[in-house]
Amino acid sequence: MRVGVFICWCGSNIKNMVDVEKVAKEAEKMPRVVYSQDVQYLCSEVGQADISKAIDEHKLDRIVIGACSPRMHESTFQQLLESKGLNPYYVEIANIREQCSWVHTDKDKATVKATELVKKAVAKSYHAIPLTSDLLKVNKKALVIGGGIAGIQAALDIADAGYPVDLVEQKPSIGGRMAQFDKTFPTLDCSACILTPKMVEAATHENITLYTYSEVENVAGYVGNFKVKIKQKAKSVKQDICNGCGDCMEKCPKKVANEFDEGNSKRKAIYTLFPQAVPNKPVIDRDNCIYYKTGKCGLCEKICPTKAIDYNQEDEIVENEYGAIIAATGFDIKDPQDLSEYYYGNHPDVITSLELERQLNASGPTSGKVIRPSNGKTPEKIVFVQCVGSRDRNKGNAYCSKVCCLYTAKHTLLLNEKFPETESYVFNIDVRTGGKGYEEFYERARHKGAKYLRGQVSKVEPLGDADNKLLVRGYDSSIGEQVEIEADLVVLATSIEPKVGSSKIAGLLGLSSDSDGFFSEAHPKLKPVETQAQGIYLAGVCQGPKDIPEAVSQASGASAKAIILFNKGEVKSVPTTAMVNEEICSGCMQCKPVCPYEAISREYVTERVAGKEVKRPVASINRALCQGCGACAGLCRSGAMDIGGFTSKQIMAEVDTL
Amino acid sequence: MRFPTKTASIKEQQELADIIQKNVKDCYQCLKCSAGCPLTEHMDYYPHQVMLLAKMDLYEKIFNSKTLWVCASCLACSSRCPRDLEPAKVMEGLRTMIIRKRGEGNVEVVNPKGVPRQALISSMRKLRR
Ligand code: SF4
Ligand code: SF4
Ligand code: SF4
Ligand code: SF4
Repeated sequence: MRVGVFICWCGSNIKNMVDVEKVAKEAEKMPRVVYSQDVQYLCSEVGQADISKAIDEHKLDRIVIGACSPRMHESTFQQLLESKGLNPYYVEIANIREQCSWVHTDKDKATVKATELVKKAVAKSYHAIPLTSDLLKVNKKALVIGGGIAGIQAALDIADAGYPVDLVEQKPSIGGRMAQFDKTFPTLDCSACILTPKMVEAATHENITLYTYSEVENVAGYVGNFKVKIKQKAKSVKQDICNGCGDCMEKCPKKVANEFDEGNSKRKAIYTLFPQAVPNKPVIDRDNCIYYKTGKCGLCEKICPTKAIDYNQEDEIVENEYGAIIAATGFDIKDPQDLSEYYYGNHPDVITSLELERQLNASGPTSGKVIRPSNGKTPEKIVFVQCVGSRDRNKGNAYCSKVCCLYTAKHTLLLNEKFPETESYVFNIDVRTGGKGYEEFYERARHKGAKYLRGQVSKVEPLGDADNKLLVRGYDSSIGEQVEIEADLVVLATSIEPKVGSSKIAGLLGLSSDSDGFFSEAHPKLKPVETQAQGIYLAGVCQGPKDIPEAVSQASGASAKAIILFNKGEVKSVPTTAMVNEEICSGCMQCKPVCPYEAISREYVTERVAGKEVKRPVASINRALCQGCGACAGLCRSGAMDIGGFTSKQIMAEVDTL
Repeated sequence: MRFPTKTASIKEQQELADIIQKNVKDCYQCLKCSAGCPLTEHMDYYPHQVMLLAKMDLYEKIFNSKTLWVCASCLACSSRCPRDLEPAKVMEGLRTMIIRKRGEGNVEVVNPKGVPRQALISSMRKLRR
């Protein structure tokens, strides 16, 4: 065995804190090291050429790199080894940057530590075993979870590239949050006008299959080969027969709070989500339908001219296979009732921004008129409160919801335009307008008269006058005075939160979430649409607060990743899978239930014991399924389970040198 | 301060706009004007506060303040305002409104020597009877 050691300066990143020449010298003395060198930039072409030359000249068969985290460049070095005819797993990396030079301040001690880290890596390299991956076929079909604008865009892009896509939406219509909005900032485009064509396109695209009123029940498999169970909830209306006349909705006697209008209007038990719903055919909400509660009524069945009502329809489970999955599960808004100082829920004229948005919408509960819910009159003084539950570690969410500053500016503009007699006051901590044309939009809002006051509102309470007004108490830091406003309407810019139920989706997909519940991307800068789970990508607010253009761009990015995967047609399996040492495996099968990928099964080996042939059970790994998580190896009591690249022998060799 | 409160009439707002040819509502309260003003220690409202009060149509408060008469019209604020609002011009406009109304100013010359030329011209207007 001939080990070569290469110590990188990483420019000044490592060299300033670690005496790289000294580490290289020390490495020369380590057993089986036949060559050692320090290099300015190992990842550069020059650095790679140095390694390549040394491999040839010194017949190296194990390479130890002292450089940055293997996350950065392990694959660079692996490819180099492969091109030299060596197994890529014959390279070992000592992280002397992130784990040494960047975190220490004493050069002498850092140099000692770097030497130790290299020594450890050298010891590990002695026990390296060659690993290979297999090529696995990719099923060229995508699943998109969530039918909001992000999901729709992702589905359209993949479908346009020529691959089939299934789009799953839990509501009876696609469209998501954007369908609720009136106008969009900063162009004031009518939201429905730009969204509905996309919804219709998704519904009619030959490569897209819509699963509305459906939920993902189970996900198994791995990149290129996911097996997914989708539950289609019974719609109780035969979708192929119903002609969408809407007679049933008119006649249905049961009224329910309309979630699409944030509860500010009524819909029927048999309903479509909104007038432009896609598909535009009703479903029966069984939780509220009289027939399902009491067995009586049945009016819709009688009225329906096409006999489309089917009370006996059952939920259906469809099982499909996909190569890639895009999560686009969207968001909910935080209920501001926890922040009792704003009096939400205690006075009808304290509303959320989304409620105002619905009021402004021509198909909303007030047909586009802005009113004080208490008396139906047009409000004159409107107070907007920013950051309600956002940037609030106490009772809210620590993060910024990103879109509130701009949609509030939009609301003041729309109010000014539609009801010039209204006056808007905006209490804010600061106004954040990062985005193209956003600062100008904020400028326009100010120009049109929105009065921005810098400071947070501390109390909203009833004024106790005949008009049932509200008194809003804040402070303006510029004037340096407490400010009180007798308001007709108070609008709360409520915080955005991950969709209820998204943690269940994360569990099904094996995604990790951040502390706020948003799905984590693989790398915050360079892999913003990928996840740690290969073949699963993210689009829209499920990954973090975003506005529409960002959600759409991310959706296109996510779909591009899926398309790349489909175009390649095959993926390399994970080489660092679990391996069973059948000789010592006792066949207890304790490892089977811990494997999150169901990669372990029981097999039998035939042995001769005392002259007789016996069959003995042992654990066996399906290498295509195993993701190398290591759960089984950690658990195995007989030490029969090992993970390629991280065998117990390798780890122990490292520990022993320290 | 509680709203609703007495605010400038549309006529007064128009008058100010006509004089200054600026839209005070453009101010985003960056505070740069106050940051550079050499006379803030003698002012009751700082330049940015004057701007905010003007923006909120609370002229009465500015009319009753010392600031307008302390302002030396040095134009430091105007040369630096990132919104190009020229706060000095706004001050001047508000002063003009008072003078037009009352036909008099009420300035107290603190440092008669070394007054910059622009300030001198402005002072003449302020001192005019
Ligand atoms: S059966 Fe249910 S859906 Fe049909 S009319 Fe009655 S309440 Fe409405
Ligand atoms: S390492 Fe073990 S537990 Fe993890 S995926 Fe592979 S077989 Fe399953
Ligand atoms: S012009 Fe007046 S307000 Fe502006 S900086 Fe000079 S003294 Fe201050
Ligand atoms: S410098 Fe201009 S924008 Fe900034 S506070 Fe003063 S007047 Fe307003």
